Amino acid sequence: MKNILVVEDEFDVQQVVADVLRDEGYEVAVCGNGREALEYLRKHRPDVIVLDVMMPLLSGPQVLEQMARSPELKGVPIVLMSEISPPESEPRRWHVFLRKPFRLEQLLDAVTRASGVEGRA
Amino acid sequence: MSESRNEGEGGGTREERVQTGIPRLDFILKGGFKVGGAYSVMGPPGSGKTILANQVCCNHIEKQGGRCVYMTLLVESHAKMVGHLSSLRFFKHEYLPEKLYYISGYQEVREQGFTGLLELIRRTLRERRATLFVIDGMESAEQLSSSPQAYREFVHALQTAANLLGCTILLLSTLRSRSHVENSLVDGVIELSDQLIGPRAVRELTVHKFRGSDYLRGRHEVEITDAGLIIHPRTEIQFSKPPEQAREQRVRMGFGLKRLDEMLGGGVPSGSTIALVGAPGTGKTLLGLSFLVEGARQGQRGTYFGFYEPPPRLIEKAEDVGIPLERYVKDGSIKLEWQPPLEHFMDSLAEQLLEKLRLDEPQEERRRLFIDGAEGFRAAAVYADRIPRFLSALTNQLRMQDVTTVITDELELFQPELDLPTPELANVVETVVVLRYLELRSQMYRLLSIMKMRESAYDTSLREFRITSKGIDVADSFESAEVLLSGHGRLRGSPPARKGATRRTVKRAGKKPGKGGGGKR
Repeated sequence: MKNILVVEDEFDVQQVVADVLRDEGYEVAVCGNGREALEYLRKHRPDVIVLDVMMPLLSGPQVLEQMARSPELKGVPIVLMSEISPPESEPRRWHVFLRKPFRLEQLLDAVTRASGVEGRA
Repeated sequence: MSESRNEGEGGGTREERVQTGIPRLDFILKGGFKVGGAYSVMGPPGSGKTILANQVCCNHIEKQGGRCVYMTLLVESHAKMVGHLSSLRFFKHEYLPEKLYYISGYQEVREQGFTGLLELIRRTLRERRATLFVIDGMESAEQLSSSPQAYREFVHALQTAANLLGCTILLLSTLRSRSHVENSLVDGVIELSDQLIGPRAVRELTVHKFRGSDYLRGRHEVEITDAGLIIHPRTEIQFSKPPEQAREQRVRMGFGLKRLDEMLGGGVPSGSTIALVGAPGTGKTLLGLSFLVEGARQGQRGTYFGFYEPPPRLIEKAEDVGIPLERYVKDGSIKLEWQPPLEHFMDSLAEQLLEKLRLDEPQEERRRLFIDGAEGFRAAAVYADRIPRFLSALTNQLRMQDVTTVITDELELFQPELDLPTPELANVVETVVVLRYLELRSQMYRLLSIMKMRESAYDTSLREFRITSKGIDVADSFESAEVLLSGHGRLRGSPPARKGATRRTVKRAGKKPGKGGGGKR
């Protein structure tokens, strides 16, 4: 069973995403902001991270930047989700981009695709 | 970041403001929100709170290089909000996430209470170097508070943080009473409303409180367009303090109709307003157009501002009776501004009109304006009792710009007595000219008279007013009118009435028009 970390500050979105993934058989952990996510990642290595961009305390890109410095976390598949497309100028530290709002099948497809890219980041 | 610096009340101190950039809201707030202030924006769902706040954010970023954090508490999701805002022109995706940052604080307040939420806010504002912070959904925070005192302390702490960080705060909530605890703490309270008045849905903005600054009180109309919110301050409060010195030089402005101009002592004084009052078809529009064309002949700019006839129809109508409107429209001396028959806002119409006059030829003196007619403003009025003050403010403003204005007002077609639909108009204008029908021996006639001309001598006689394919014309003397009124009317071109013929007194004008040769145009 794959472990997924959902990092999302909007409570409703966080809960729905987590429930859907659980229904699909994933083990799901949730964090409400980037700082919480980094704390979680010190102890765990999920198979996929579903990561929001705009969050309190640490944003999605800031989390990715810190993960890039950590040999243990390098290569963890990332589904980056946001209302806007990520700027071309920024380093691409994610694997699949999911534009909000999304449908559940798009979410599942993104997670499935990200699961298959482990180690290739 | 650059801030606007405005003259404070009293003229001495200057203070920093966050400009809202929302058309005319800064005018209402005398410059915008004070930097470091906390403001409550309340209103029912759909009144435009979220648009207002996002518009202020985007304008603050664009015009003042600001950085904004927008926190939601159990309101629509960020994805939905961004989706809705995307259709509005002020919203720019490129501001996200660097300059406009959306976060949710709901989980924090739910799990950690106000202590956790305040900590989150303080950290976020510092880390994002925010200059403007919005909390959307304050009612959720209040519902989650352990006591009213806890909520009061939270709002107070927010204000302290905002002051220290130099960050302006907007607190958005659903409608609550003006005496609500939050409103007593914040620096300003703005209410947005959305209500049905008759068949019309009307959005309005009211500033209830604005500490340390003057502001325009009362209700102001709000429009939501693809450009976002547009506020229309009440015309009468915008121009409530006209300068004592107006620009007008009191030059006579004629209609190009020899007899009428003579009756008016050479024309109406420049910078004054004249009302043309009459039933439909009595010739008000043609007389007004004649006024513009006469001005154009003399090299004066003219503007037509009307509600009923589109420009091609207007030109055709004028040309049919020999008024050469088309050539002056083509050479730009006369501008035709037609308002399609839609639902208008009265103050928006006044703004459009004054804006056009201000932008078109602001340096030109002795401009002419023809408003066809007052009923267009009346139809756009949500509150009918505003009309007298509105018209007074509008005509004052036009006088100040040295604009000589002709404004029509329509009487009912079958009205036995002279009963003005906008009685106040007669009070705010300097001159009133009345056009009326007279039915006599199966023929319709038009009569013209000057009912009032302030501070000027004028001819009080009743004259016949004719509209033919060769032009419009006022009779040489009062005799033709006298003959008509005394019942001695004759068919045009026929010999004068026989002396000693039976006399019949016409007791009232304006009977049902027949199909005679002198019928209405």
